[in-house]
Amino acid sequence: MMDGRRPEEPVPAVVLGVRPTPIRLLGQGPTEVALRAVGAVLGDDGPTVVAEDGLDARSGADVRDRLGRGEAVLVLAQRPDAAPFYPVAGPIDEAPATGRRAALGSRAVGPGRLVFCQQRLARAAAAGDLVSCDLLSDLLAWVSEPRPLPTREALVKDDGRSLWRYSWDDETRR
Amino acid sequence: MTERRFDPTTGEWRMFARHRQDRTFLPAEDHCPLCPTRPGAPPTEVPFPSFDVVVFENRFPALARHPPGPEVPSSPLYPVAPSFGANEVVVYSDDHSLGLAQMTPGRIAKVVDVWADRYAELSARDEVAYVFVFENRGVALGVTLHHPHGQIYAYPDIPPRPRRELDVATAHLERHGTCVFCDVVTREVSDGVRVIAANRSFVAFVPFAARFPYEAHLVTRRHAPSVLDLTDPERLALAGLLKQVLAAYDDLFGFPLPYVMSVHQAPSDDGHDTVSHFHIELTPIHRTATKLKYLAGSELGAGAFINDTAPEDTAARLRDLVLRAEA
Repeated sequence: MMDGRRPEEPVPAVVLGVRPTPIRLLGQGPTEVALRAVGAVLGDDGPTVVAEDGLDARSGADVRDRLGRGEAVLVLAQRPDAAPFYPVAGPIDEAPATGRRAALGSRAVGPGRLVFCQQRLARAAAAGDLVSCDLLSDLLAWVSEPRPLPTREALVKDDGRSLWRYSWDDETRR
Repeated sequence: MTERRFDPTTGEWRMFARHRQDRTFLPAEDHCPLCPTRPGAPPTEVPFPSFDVVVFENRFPALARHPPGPEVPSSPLYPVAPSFGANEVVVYSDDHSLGLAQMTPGRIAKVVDVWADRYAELSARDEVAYVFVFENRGVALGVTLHHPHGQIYAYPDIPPRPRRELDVATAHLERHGTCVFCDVVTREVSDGVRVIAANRSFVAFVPFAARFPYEAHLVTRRHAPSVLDLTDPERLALAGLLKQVLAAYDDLFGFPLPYVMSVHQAPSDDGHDTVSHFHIELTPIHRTATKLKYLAGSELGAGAFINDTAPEDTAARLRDLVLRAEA
């Protein structure tokens, strides 16, 4: 919303201090406007971003291929009927019987890295909503320079208690 | 004896665990059970020569996956229940002297990653209603092992303080249509006088109605119900801000300040997301270098805290220490 009125077409927000971030976009619509507003440079370089509601059989195959090559992919919010094309089960499937399901997250998919967000941001960010712009910007930063995920090794101690050892494949020891 | 008893006069469950009287108490460094097991040395709790972060089930749990049956019978007036849940120990690193305040933000972010993993796993268990991450630091606060570590309690119900927080947030939402924590963050950023430090994603401030002189809350600017809902840049921002505040604590009186760190977030189910707002509460018990804030008559007897300082003054002092550290 701008001045209490919703513009006919999404208007790019003016976001100061954005860092140009090259990405490769699959899909279009308000996501494209929103991404440009937060500093994305659309082209053939950088991580792949799937636009909101942009996941279909063709883009899904592309995503799987990219992940298989060890690349990072950001999948923005998708409708439930896109579940067959999603690279992993979980983010848009039926809710689990127990436990919480986060609207966003990251996981390793083969050698690649998936970042996902099921919260809809594109229209609000394209219209200049700062919270949505910040979150979209965070997602871009996340997929552009993903921190290593921990590996978890589980064991059962002699007295039956469980222990989990978390390790990261980097040099940040302190 | 490990059981839960319900207090019908307050409506609260209490945990009983008699075996915890026998737990390890302040061992010497060369007998630290949280250090890695060195070659040729006696085994510790951690059977590795080195590690990044380790989590294990507490040897002296008050809550367990397979608890024994209660020793006393349950009745309508006095309900008694098995102590279902989990007590886990989170060992921050294999360095006996490396606390959160001494770590780099990148290293603290790894601890946050582990909180997220444990939160996801424990909150998915049928018997768990609330996952509570915390750290007791300092002998004055009952620490029994010096090696820097935190703990995770997975409760079978929502404990009193988070329950009260959720109830108040629900009432605020019904009355104003907004999240009370979002409103508090907006107000604190606007006022500025109680802010200790802030970054793009989090704000640290002494609460307007702080219970303890140097109490600090670290709250997400964005409405995020749990650690699972934080983006990676937000986890790094939290780590950076936590380091700033904890370092200021240690500079405050020239010694490592004892504190309790409590992580408040959404219960295990998905039903509280609009009123759950991820935040960390830090409650140091010192009011001066030599004086502690005791919980006495008004606090313990009536539940009404008296603070001998003005939050605006203590925030200014902590803010100054943060700025000096950055200079």
